[in-house]
Amino acid sequence: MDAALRVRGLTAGYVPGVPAIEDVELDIAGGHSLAVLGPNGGGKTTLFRALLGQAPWRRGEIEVRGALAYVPQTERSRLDFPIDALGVALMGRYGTTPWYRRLSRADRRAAHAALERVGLGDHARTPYGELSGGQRQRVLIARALAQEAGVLLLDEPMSGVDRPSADRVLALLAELRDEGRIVLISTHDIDHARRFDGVLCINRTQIACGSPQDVLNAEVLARTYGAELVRLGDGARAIVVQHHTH
Amino acid sequence: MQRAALELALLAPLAGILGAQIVLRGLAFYAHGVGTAAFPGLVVASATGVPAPAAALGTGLLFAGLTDGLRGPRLAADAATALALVGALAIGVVLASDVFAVGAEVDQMLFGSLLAIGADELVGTLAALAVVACLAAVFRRDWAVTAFDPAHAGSLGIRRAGDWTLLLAIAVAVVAALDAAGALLVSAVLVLPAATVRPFARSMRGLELAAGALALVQGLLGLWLAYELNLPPGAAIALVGGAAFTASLALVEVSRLRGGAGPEGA
Repeated sequence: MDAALRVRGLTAGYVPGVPAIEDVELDIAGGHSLAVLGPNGGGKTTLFRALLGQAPWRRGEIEVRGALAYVPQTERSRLDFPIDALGVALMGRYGTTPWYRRLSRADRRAAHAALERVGLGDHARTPYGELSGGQRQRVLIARALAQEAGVLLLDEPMSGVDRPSADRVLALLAELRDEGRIVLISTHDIDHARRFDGVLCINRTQIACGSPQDVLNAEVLARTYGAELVRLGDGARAIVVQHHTH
Repeated sequence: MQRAALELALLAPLAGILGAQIVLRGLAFYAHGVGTAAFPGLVVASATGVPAPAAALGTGLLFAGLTDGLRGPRLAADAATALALVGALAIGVVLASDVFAVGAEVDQMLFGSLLAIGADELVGTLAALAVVACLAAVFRRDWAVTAFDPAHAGSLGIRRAGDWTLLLAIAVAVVAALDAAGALLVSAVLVLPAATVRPFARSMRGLELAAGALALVQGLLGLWLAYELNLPPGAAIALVGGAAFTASLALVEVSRLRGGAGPEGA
């Protein structure tokens, strides 16, 4: 898989002239992962929307090699929808199936293979709403794999997921990266960000981008989180994060 | 009687395809609103000789547009729907009683006249079914993805048609159901069956088929009751639909009390 993502001077927002993010620069080759770290309202979602071509207003250059796929938060999808895991994975094939054609056997095979790939081959017929948070997240990743994505954008994939499941999702993302894909996640968890090849800190504008060792230091975090950063009694810092709502 | 049964058979697929979308997207109030908005259209048509379906569709779509225009940061969509709905009903009543004096037909407009259905009405329903089938064939995946995950349907690479295709299809189906159920009871035909079977459905296809089948069964049962007991057929169908829905609720509750996750989880 020969994925690549290059972003130059990306400025984007919802109203022309009012940027939600400014001057983002990225250069990621296939087989690498990146955590986008920042406070709520800091522009993580806007960055992903801009990459997907869905930001209402945008300047700068984006070059993508490989198909892009977006993995939403599981908390956003409906649990009362009459669909099983396979049905969700099959949605990944809709984009390549014209309306006048039924989904083919090859599409079904691809969706099954994607579920196998995320370790849910046995749950193909399980209703989506009955799966655990971690399993639902993996089904949504399977949907992205069914899209044959070279670049995966995941919105807070570890939120609403218990710790063992989060570790499992992280391990899966590492495997997908090792297969040559680009894996981008948004997160506000510094410990999760540490486990990626690179970290991009944004708060309206790009604060820093580099390896976790270089980027995750007190000075960068203070600039990223600003007033949301509080000092704990033992001198360590903690991040105050409200629950994500938008 | 045969024509009435045939009409119900033509409406059943509409109740299946669109009923599923209506209950999953929370559009029941919209469907009811379009039905009510068709009422002033029917009054005008009756007095002026304009074809009734055209007038009903016209005011129904006007209502849809008005609701869309009214809602915004200061007015929630359901409040906008309620506002337009009340307005349409009031205008209809004023037109019927004071302007055109079509009082005698108001009952039929509001509650349907299934037993008086003629060949023209059947052809109209068939045409509506054809329009909805075409829209559903082209946009069904779009509708399904949007219902499942509205914010991110675009990232799946499918052509985004916009909600208007679904709203238009519902408006067409509502107008088709007016003859059977009237402006105030269309939900009994289009919404109730899908709402009744929804807790038991495991797939979209299953929901559509079950809702369509139930619409036919409850329609025929209501028609038979109306005939035997000399009831208005629209109201009889609504009552049977309400009874089926209540039974479904009870079944869900019983299986929940038994300790299972409920039929949704079965």
